[in-house]
Amino acid sequence: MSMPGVHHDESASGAQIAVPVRSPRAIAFARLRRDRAAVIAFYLAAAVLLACFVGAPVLSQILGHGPNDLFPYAVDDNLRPVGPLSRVPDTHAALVDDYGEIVPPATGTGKTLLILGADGALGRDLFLRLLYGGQVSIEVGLLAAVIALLIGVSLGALAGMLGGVVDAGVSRLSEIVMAFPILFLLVLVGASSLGSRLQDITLGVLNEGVFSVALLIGLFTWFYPARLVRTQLLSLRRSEFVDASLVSGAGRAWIFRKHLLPHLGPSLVTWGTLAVATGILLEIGVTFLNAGVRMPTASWGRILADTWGSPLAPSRYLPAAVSLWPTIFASLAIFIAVVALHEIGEALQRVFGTERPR
Amino acid sequence: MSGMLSFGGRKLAIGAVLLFGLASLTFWVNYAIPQDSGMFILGNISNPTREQVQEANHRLGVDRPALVQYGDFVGDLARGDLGISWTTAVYKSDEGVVGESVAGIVLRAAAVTGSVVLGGVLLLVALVLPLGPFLASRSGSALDRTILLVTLAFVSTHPLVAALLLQLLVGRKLGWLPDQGYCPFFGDIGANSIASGVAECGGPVDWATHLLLPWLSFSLLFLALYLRQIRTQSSSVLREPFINVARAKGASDRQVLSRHVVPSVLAVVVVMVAMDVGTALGVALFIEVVFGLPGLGRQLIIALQGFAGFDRPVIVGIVLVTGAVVVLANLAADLLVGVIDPRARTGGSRGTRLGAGDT
Repeated sequence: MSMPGVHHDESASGAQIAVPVRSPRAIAFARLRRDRAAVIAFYLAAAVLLACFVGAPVLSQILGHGPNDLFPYAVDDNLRPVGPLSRVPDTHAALVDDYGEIVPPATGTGKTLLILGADGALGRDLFLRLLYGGQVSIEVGLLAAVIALLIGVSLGALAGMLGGVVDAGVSRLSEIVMAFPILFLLVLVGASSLGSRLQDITLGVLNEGVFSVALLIGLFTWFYPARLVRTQLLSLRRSEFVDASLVSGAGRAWIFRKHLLPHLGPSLVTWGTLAVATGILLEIGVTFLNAGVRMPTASWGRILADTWGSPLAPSRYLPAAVSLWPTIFASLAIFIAVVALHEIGEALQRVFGTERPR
Repeated sequence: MSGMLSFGGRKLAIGAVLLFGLASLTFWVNYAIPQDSGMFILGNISNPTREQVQEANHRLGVDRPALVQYGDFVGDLARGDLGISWTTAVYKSDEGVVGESVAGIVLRAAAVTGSVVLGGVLLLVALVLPLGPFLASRSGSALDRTILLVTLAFVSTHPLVAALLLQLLVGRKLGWLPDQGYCPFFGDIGANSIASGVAECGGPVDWATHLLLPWLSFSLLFLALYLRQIRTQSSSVLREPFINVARAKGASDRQVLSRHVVPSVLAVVVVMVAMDVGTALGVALFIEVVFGLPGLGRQLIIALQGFAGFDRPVIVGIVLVTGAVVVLANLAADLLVGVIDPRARTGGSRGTRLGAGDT
C-alpha cells in the first residue's frame, strides 16, 4: 500500500517544520478508526469469530455436551423442542415403557442447560450448533475468498502483465465462467459422487464439508478479482515508475511484486471482505438445497434446512410441533455476521476510495 | 438506427453462441458424472439385475459412445427438440421410450417463475420509484438515515432467510396468507394440485394471495439494492439546472419529484431490472423451493436430486431457457442504454451478466 506519493519531509527549505510523515496505510487506518460504524462492525465481527472459534469449545466443556449430542427429553410429546434457557435431563437415551411410551428419566439423572433451547425433533443444543455451525460457515466464506483471490490474482496478473494472447485467453475464460449460473453448478456437483468424495477433505484443520463447498465457490468467483487486477494493471503498466524500473533492469516479476501488487491491495482487501460475506450466504443457499454441508455437521445453512425439511420433502407444518426459535436464532446469527462484513467492506471502500467491486 | 440494429444483431449472435456453449457444457458436465440413466425407465422393478439396467440404458440410448450422443443432442437442439423428461419416461414395447416433453414441462414451470419474478419486480418498482426520489429530497434527515440503515439490513439478509421467516411468521404462526403452493391464474381448478400439493384452487384471487409472500420475499433484497442506487441517482438529478428552473417557475417539492425526478430515474430502474434478471432467477429458485411453487427452480432441483440421478434433458432445457431469458434481458438493457445514452452504443463491451445470482 506504499503509494509513491511525495512526502514533504525532504523539502530542503531551511525552516524545519515538523510535519508528521504518515504512510498511506497509516492514513487509511486512522480514517477507519474515526468511522464509528466501521469500528462497531469490526468489534461485532471479532466477537462472532471469537464466539465461534474459541467460545464454542469452551462452552461445550462448561456445559458438558457437544453440538451433535441428542437429548430425547429436550422435546415434548409432539416432538416440539424446548425454548431458550431450558434445563433438560442429561441423558442421550429415552426410557420406554412396555407400551412403547416414553417415560420420565430415572431419578437421579442430572440436568444440563440448553442456552437457546433445542434445535428440533432431535433435541440438540441450538446455541452450540449455532457456534459450531458458525465455524463451518465462516471457514467456507474465508476459504472461498482465499481460493478465488489466489486464482484471480494470478490469472489477472498474467493477463495484465503479459497482454496479447494470454490476456485474450484469460478474458474469454473469465467471461465463460461468469456466464455460468454458479448456483446450478454448485448443486450439480454437490449432488454428485464427486461432491461426496470432496466432502471428506479437511486438510487437517477444516470442518467436514467445508473444503468442497469453498472450492466450488472459489472456482466460480475468481473472475471478479481477476478482472479487478487486470484492469488496474493495464493502466499501471504504462506508468512512468514502471518504465523507470524497466530501464533500470528490473524483471517483470520483480516489478509486479514490488511496485504493482501494493497498488492492488486496497481493492483486493475490499473485495475479499465482501466475498467472505457472499461465501457465507452461498453456503447457506447450497446447503439448504441439499448439496452443501451434510448432516449431522452443523452449519448455518444446515440449521435452517434441518428445521424446514429438504427441498424435495419439506417437513409438514404441525403447529404443535414447530418452534420459531431455531429459524429466528439462525437467521439472527447469519444476519449479524453478514451485516458486520458488509459494513466493514463498505467502510474500506470509503477509506480507500475504491469502487465497489462487482 | 442501422447502428442500433447491427449492435443488437451482434449481441444476439454472441448470445446464441453463449447459449450453445452453455448447453454443451451442461451436457458434458452431466456426461462426466457417471450414472445409470436407465434406472429412470426400469419402472417397478425393485432390485434390477445388471443385465436389466444395461438393457434399460440401451433403450434410453445412454450406452452409446459419448460423441454419438453429443451429435444427437446437438442435432435435436438445432431442430428445437428438447426431448422427453427421463423422470416421466416409461418403456413401451410397441412405441419405445415415451414420456412428457421437456418443452411442455419447462413452459409450465416458466409460467410460475414468471409470475413470481414479474409480480416481485412490479412490487419493487412500485416501492422504489416514489421512495428513492423522496429520500433524496430529504437527504440527511432522520428518516433517510433510518431507511438507509434498514436497507443495509435487507442487503445482508439472504432471500432464503427472508422467505423462511415470512413463511414461518406470517404464513404459519399468524396464518394470514397461504404458506405454500401455487394456483394457476387461469382457473383450471385442480390442474396443478399434484405439483403444488394444495387442494383445488385457481383464478386471479387465489393466484395473487398465494404469491403475495413470495413477492414480498423476492423484493426485499432488491428493494435495498435499488433504493440505495436510486437515492444516489435522484440526488444528482436534484442538483441539475432544470430542477432549479422548475422551482423558479413555482413548482412544489412534490411536483418537482413526481414530474421531473421520477421520470428521469425510471429509465435507470428499467435498465437495472433488465440487467438483474439473472440474479432474479437465482433468487426465485430459493423462493420457489421454500413456498413449494412448481417453477423452473424447483423443477431444476427435482431434475438434479431425483431418485435415479440427473434428468439431463430437463436440466438442459431449464439451463437453456433461463440462459435465453438472461441473454435477451441483457440485450434489452444494452439497447435501452443505447436509447438513453447514444455514446454507449459503440462501446458496448460491458460483458454479458448471466450468473444465477451472487447470493
